[in-house]
Amino acid sequence: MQSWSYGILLALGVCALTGPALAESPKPDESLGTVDVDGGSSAPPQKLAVVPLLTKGNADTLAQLVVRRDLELSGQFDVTADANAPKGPFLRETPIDPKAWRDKGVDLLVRVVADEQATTVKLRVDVWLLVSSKKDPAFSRSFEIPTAQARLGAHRVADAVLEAVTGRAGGFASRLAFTARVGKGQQVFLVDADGFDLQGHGPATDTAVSPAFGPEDEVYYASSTDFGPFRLVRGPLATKVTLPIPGSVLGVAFDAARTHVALAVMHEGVSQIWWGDAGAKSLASKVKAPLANHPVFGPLGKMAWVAGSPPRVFVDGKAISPPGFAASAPTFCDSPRGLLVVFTVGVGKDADLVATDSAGSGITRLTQAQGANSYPACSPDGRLVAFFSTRASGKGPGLYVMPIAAPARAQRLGSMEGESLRWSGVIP
Amino acid sequence: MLALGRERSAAPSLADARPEPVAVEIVPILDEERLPTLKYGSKKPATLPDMWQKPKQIPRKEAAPKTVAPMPSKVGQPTTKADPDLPATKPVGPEPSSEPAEDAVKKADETIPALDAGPPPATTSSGVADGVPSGTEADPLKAQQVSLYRAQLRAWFASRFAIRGKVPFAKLKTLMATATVLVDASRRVAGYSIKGSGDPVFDAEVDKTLAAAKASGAELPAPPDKYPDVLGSSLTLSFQCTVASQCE
Repeated sequence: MQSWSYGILLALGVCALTGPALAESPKPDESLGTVDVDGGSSAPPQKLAVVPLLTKGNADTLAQLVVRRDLELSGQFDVTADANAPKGPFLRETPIDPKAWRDKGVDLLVRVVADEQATTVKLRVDVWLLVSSKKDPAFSRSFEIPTAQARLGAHRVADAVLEAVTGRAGGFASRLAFTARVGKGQQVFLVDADGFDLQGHGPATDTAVSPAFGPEDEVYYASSTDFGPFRLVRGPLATKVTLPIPGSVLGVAFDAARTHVALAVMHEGVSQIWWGDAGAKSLASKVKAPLANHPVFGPLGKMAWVAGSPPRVFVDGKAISPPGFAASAPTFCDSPRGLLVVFTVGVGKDADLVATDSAGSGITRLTQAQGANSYPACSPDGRLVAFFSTRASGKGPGLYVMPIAAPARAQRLGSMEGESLRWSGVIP
Repeated sequence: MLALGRERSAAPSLADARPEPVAVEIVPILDEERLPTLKYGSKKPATLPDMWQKPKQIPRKEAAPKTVAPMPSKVGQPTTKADPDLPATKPVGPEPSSEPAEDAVKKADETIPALDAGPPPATTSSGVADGVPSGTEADPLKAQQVSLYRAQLRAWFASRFAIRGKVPFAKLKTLMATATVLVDASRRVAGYSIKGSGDPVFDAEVDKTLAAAKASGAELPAPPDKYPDVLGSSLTLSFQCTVASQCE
């Protein structure tokens, strides 16, 4: 009797495992198909070429240089040198010969042209997928932008190329903000994503910390005058933002939509992280922990901050940085490697960048034995990490950017050195 | 702190004092490997992993194989370690002897599926002139984007699949296990079922990989912006290790 019952149960169990469940099992997406996980192997990056057109005017030259530089910085492709192009010259009217480029090993071909109008610049980009023998481009897009914003327009072209080829728009139509010493003060600086157009922002005589891009693309930061408490201010004139809470502001962050703000405020020796609407008119306490600081919003509703002594990185209340190491400056990267949190870890007298998933597992080291590498900031598209480095080797200290999926491809944007780096897209 | 600074500035200048030996406290900065040992209960050593090393790349597969590689004889034995939250699925791996040659061609082309040069399709349905009859994607840009996304998913799982050195390569290269993974709305692994290779070590490693991915709560890479549905609620994976330099 007992064995008979077991037999029935076993039969039912087998049926539950293999029978009825089959019809209810979700059907895998057909476009993706089966993903072949072959231990440790990786495919080489695709080879991309930018057609070395004979340019017509400054805007045309600028567009080609900027787009090419952005695609190199993206780390997504092996961008081939102009010398590897098929025999030219290449004029705008010259038809594209896919076979000639394919014979050079090129997978993706980009052609950019820019025409100056009276007050605007018209940009056009075409992309060929050379794996196909089609003579028509697989992707074309045109932009018209004020002449004064020609460089920004070229960045938008590069972002569009990345979107067409990879499925995710690039993050080059963006700016980096940071603070750096100027005399006895500390000022906010802004710079384009490719390291150009460095500008001071706000008074140089005060001490500014923690810049962040807020509503209407305005830069918010905490500023102290004559060693007084740090107050939340915005814009080049350091316009004061009135807060409903007392204390000294130590950290500022906005979410991607710039509809919410997070502030780290120290009051009477207690540090708290407050959260509320972007105007900071109504704030609620989110975190109350010793030395809570550096709030940062992430995708999927996540928030990270730093707290404790030695400081550790927390995501939604869970410590994710390795115990025993001083960690700081977290940033979320929704990268090709998944959603990662990149932060700085003190190693002896130096500092390195590490990445973990948002739960703290799968830690990987992005820098090693190259001086102090600090204040990582992730690009709006999640592919790149910018950071300051004191490295003496290679191109020396300065502001660097690395593809998070290929840290060995780090490139120096300039000699700037500073703190509190943030990276955000320019609102169209 | 400010008051302290003022007190210091009011102190007599050191320049006026006679130079005398001054006792100072030296606080050594510990090297990372000499940090205090972790308290009982932690299994993680207080050291950081080495920096990412560039993996040895495999050459692009330009030409499709003319023959179908023989499949291991034990493929098709489902494991019983399927996640209890996941309804069991039917075996998803290719059958050893009935795999059509066209399927093998598609599998070999890891860069752009179904867009290799070939004879024009003898069909009037939508598609591209230089596609192949067995192709499934009519939009070259979508094919490109999905191909790159597939590579990201492959790398995401491969980085967690530590089979190297656990099975002799001569045997390892013949093994393949397939898995169906449930993905939740936050792009996390919510469950999985495995159709094993028949090798207990290999299958255990696949199970360990997926169990760890589920337990960690790590998010998969985001799908292409224009095609968010590419990453549906389930994902089919095939686990192998066929590159000697990466598997031995």
